Amino acid sequence: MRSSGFILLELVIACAIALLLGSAIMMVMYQINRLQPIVERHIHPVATALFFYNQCMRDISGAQVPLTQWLALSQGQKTEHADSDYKIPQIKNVFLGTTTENMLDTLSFITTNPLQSYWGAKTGKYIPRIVRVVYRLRPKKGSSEYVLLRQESEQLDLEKIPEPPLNQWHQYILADHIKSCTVEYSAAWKMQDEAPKKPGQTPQQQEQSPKTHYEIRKKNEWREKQEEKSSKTKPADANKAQEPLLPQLVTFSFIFYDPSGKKTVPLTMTIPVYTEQIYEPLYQTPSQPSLTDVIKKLSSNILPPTAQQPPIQLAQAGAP
Amino acid sequence: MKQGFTLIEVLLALAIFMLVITPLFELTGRLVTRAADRARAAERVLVAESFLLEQRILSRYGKKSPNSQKIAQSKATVTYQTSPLSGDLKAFKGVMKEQVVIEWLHKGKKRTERIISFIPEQVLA
Repeated sequence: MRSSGFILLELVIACAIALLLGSAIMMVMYQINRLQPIVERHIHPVATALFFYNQCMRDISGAQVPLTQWLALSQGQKTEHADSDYKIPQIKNVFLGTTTENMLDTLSFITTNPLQSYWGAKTGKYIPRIVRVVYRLRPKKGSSEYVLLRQESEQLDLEKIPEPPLNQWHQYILADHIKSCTVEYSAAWKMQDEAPKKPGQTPQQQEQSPKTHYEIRKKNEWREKQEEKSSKTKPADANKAQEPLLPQLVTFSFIFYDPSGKKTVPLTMTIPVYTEQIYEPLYQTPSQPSLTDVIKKLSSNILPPTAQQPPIQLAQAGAP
Repeated sequence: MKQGFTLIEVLLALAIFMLVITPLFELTGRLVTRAADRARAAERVLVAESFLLEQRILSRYGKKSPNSQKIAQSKATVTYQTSPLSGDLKAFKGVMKEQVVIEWLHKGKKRTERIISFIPEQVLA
């Protein structure tokens, strides 16, 4: 009689093979599962930094002093453009960087690189938009970590930057898993040298030809000079050093947590303020230059010195 | 008639199975290494770019190149150099070449990467 079905040995071998296959597949699945957080741990801090770097580079590279600010600053002087009856409101904190416990608190500036761009309906031309961008480092609730928030607004005539929550300001998290973030602002200070007194030279003649040199200085905070005057940390050479209106480099030093929160990754990024790198920096002088002087200075940097260009009309500067 | 697999057939099947499974294990290991390598490469680019910008400003205001610095966080050395254009590029007047060379050790071997940019002389002057 021919036997049907499997014998015990066949079943045992089949079970053993199935077990072997099953355990091997489970091992692979386990490895893949384990892989995801390991890859995340390596990639996340750098990916966050790159995401921040791209956005911040876009924002800061367009940071500038608006022309209306120059109009406001030059109101006290006789200029051909300023109307004596109208007071242009001066924008506070054109570039502001503050710290809390040696870490970034608020960074705010005016930029021409907003997230949204507008195009004319008829012409299809790009309409430039100028906005204020605010970065804030804030602690994450129920955690030792910080998050970096970014906001953008068209309100440029602010006396001070309001605190969140702000309904009219869109706010989002630009970077997270931050252990610490410090910022350093670098710029070239214009230093006036004390000219050696020549015999027979009057003090007036000496003042007419003052020698200057530049000195790269680094600061952990960037405030307007008016605010610094009231502070106790006034530099000893404040009378000889002319501070630029904007920094030339902004260096962010982050320490990121990996997603598991066990390891930390330090990353440093430097971002240039291009307007200050391409043109000669504009300085906060005791007597502010007129808007005409500023336009002439800027246009002389843009245009070749030999080219005879017609003067720039003020109406063109703000026109869409 | 005898039915079923012979020992050779079973061993052959197992060998084929192992051939398929083993690269999968290797692949997972390699993926982690690759991810870590790519993360370090991106980190080096950030370091080199930051160094380039900083040195550009310094050389603009009188500090002479080349300048070198050791970066502890990425265990690398970065060097900044500026030089006039050479070869056919000489046709571009008033333009300088600036580069950041970043060197590091990978499995005992010295590796190098460069970031090269061209910049008007007046920016560095």
